[in-house]
Amino acid sequence: MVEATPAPKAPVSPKRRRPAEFWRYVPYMVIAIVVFGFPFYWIIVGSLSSNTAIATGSIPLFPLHPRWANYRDAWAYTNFARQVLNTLIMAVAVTASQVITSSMAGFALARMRFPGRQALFIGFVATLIIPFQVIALPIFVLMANLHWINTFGALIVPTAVNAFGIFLYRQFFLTIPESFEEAAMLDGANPWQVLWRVYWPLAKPATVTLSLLTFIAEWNSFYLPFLFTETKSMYTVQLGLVAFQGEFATVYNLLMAATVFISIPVFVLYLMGQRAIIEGIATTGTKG
Amino acid sequence: MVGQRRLRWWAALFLAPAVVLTAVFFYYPMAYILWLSMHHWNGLSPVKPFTGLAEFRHLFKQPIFGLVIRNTAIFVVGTVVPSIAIGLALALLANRRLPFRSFLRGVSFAPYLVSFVSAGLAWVWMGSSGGLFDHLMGFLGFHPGNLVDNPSYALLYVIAMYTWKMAGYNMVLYLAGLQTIPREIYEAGAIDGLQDGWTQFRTITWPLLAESTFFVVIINLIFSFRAFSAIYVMTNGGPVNSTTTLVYYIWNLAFVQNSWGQAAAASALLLIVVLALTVGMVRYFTKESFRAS
Repeated sequence: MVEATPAPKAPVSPKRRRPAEFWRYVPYMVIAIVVFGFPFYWIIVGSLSSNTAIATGSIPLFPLHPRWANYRDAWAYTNFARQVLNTLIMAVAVTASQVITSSMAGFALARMRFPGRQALFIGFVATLIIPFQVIALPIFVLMANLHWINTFGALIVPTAVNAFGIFLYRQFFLTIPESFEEAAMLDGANPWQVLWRVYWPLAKPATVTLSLLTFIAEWNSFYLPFLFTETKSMYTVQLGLVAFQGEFATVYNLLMAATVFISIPVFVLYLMGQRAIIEGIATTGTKG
Repeated sequence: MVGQRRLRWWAALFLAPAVVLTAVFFYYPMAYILWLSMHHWNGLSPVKPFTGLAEFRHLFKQPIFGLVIRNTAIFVVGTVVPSIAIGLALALLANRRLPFRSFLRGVSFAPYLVSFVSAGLAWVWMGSSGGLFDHLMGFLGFHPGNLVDNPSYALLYVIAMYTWKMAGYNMVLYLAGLQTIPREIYEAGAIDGLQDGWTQFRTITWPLLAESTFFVVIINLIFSFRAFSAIYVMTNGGPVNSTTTLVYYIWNLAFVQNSWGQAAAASALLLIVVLALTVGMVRYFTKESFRAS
């Protein structure tokens, strides 16, 4: 409630205001950092603990005797190497397909006039609402009929297009002045060349954002490979992790070690492309 | 110059891959699921006799169907509301010119980056008896044992993990919204006597964040209805079905019980609920913004 308003305060210099504000918000920051950050620290501590410490629940707050061998044992146990390779093949192929299909569709939707353009755009974007679990059963039947279950075809083709990418490229291409296109056309370039030689290089930020987000999503994806693979040799890393849990339910130190090394690529990509990832999420948020 | 007619051929060529893939992997499956929900199928038989709405009736008569709907409602509301509220609080905090604010942003966004499988497994360990939460709650004289094995706590525990994972994502969306609010509005508000933080938030920040909130609510609803891997990894739908939600039930009906007709009916139900909620939200928010303007 606002009571008798005090005389308008003189603008306070930021230098003087900062410490007071800082101390007021310090408790909240500490709470937030502990709640969101401590589990990560604890996972790493757990991954370096001994079997006895895990079994008795007497894990020291600081790992004074880290057991690095846990990482070697966890890696050697299942065929994680093969699963990393499978996941890389799937993630790279899906990312490349989405970049190609999305930039082509986004270019046509942003730069070409044809009947039904708006309806087509809505038709693409509407698919973002549909949960994969709703359409997973028919896709499973389709994959089974094609004898694609347990092959890379099933891991790659159903996700080769994504409306998020189409949306991203369309919005980006709309911001590029038409004069670029006209100049290239006058030089005798056809639309195919205009897209790949003029527009696509200019849309590098969209490509970086889409690639990073898609790669991370594929690396972390579970339901699709869970339904469409059968043998351990076709498993992706997330399935490998679940299989590991199935066999070593309570060997949490090795399980946490596996969890850590499987999450490393995602964090490396995030640190490399932090800006593109955050902006990619944020712009779709504000532009809806 | 390329003529108008030839340009249309180019447009068709550019759109062909996306249109074909979207038709085959989105629109055909949606039509198929609606068709299959009116047919009986065990997943193997070459014939799928037409049964009308019988599969829906069988589904609704399942002894655990009521529980599944209840679990789904609790899970969706229980994850969407707190993860948005915490995400907004984090955004307000991280938007201030405080030292370590980029560290705060990074740490609270980190859970979003790891997979639901990894996060779920880590939380299973932290919630096991003798684990982190057992110790922490022990200080309060409370020993729930293995949290994921306890029918009273398992769903709440999965909700807590999910909220931990999604709050940072909502923070990023809200931070983007906050950055579009010009500083001058707060300065003008201060002249009008809006000095204290809560009044400022209620009269300036929250109304101007309406567009962000709209998007955040829709995307969180969509995400929460999809949550499968966290539940599969943490609880397998148990104990005694206390964490079986609609998506988990769909998988169970199709791949464990081989009742594909009922699984299709449950999928159709999920599709209808998600579409209705999205359309409802869009209509509600467009009305609200008309009222505001």
